[in-house]
Amino acid sequence: MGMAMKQPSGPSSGDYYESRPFTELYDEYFDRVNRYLRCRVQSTWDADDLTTVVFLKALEKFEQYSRTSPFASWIFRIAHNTYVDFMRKNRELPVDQEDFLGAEPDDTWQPERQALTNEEIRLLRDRLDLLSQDQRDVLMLRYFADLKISQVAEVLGKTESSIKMISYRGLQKLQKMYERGDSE
Amino acid sequence: MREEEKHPQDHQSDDQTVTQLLAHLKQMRGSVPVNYQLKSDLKKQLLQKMRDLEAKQAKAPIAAPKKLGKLVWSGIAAAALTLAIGGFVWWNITSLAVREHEVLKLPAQAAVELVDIDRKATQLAYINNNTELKTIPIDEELKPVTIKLPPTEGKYTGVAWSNSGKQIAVVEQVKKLSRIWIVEMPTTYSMGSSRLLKEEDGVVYSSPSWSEHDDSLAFSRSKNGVEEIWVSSTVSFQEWKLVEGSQPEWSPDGSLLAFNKAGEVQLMEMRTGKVTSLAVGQWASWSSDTRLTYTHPNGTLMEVNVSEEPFVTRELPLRNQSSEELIKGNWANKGKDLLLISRHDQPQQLVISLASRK
Repeated sequence: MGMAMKQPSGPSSGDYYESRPFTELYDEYFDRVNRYLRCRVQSTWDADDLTTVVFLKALEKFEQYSRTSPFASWIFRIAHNTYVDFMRKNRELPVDQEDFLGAEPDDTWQPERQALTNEEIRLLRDRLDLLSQDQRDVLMLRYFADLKISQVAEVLGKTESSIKMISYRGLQKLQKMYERGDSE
Repeated sequence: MREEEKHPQDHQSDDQTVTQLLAHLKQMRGSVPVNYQLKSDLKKQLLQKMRDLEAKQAKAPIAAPKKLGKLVWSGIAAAALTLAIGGFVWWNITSLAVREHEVLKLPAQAAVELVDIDRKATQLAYINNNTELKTIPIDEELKPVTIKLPPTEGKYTGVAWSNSGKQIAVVEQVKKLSRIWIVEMPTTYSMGSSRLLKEEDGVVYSSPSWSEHDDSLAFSRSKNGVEEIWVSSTVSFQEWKLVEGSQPEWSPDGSLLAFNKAGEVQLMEMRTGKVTSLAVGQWASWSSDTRLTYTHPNGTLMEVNVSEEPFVTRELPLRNQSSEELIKGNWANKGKDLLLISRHDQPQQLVISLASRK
């Protein structure tokens, strides 16, 4: 009967309250953060290291988390900043698509998803890299971290309408690339 | 397509293809593997870090700031001086005096059970505005805590700290429906949460009292004018009726249960079930395993030693007491501190004060 006192009631509602302990939130958000970082950085090793850094930072700062805003926005702000820091320090390294998802042990793959080839994912990565930095950030947070528009806005410190527009333009551009079948 | 993806009208023709793209992205996201081995290993690492941080925080009070250190030394010096005066103030040391007046004021119509003191006398807890559980630190190192309670259409009518101080029983009354919640107090890494221990229609619950090891809760259950004391296990959720009466109060060692019946304080021996009447009065509270106090109908605090028969009751003088009418006294800190709940006439309100044996 582990009833929470007040369940999160939605990111935009005024009475949002996150009452779950850190470990429970970790269990829920690890997959999303790990997936997000694995999409963003070239090597899975780096992505996993960054995931570790994100949750260690989150634990250290957990007392500062207000709980009146969604945990998703908070943890992904840490994740995104960690990623940005990492990229700043590793600016000279090009994204090596061979490392992205390459040589991944089978036990980390869901069987039903194995039908998707790495080639398809590489292609998507190629195309995302052709977008602007803003578009890439928004689409990654929106569709790979699975954040809501309002949460992406919080993470990136932009307005919701701005995120909607960036997302829309990014999707249009991506769509055209798919239609043309190119990654140039 | 989700609402947020809807864009200007002139782009509606693109919706179909964008929808396909979104489905593709979703599929791609699902295809990115998660490192579950890392998830498991990192969790262990985080749990260890949490334990380390908690241990570190537990030690922290030892390293008091210099200023506080000076205060402590001043306190020690003052204590030494007091001891030097010796026997002259002996009665001053053993007698009970109100040291903090009006720690909290509640509306006159508020239930007297809306406030309680924890067993170590480090903080008070009370229901604020019928919406939240708040604490008032007595110990300077504690911070006040506010925990939102589940929204209610009725009223919260009582609180009771567990002996460990980690939980608080909260009673809610919604018309004829009565509930008892167990509220977990927040720690460094978890916020307060609550679980429903009991819910029953057509009854009124009140006066929860925790057993020695916090594994059971005794409470009053009133139905059709009949008051009974029930016990509910907080672990197995078993429950049983104990005796007819109200206002149960478990002795610290759990061997005795004081309660009220027909305006008298009674005592039940838990091992044998033997019930003995002690005296006219109500709101019993234990200051030790063998001593309890209760409020006489004339508003005085009475004390009785239950280990000596025949029972002899005596008035427990309270120095420095204001003119309010005492309703209830809750002991804490092994009989050194006493939470006083009194009724004030002008203006009408419940006044909470703290008394202690220095």
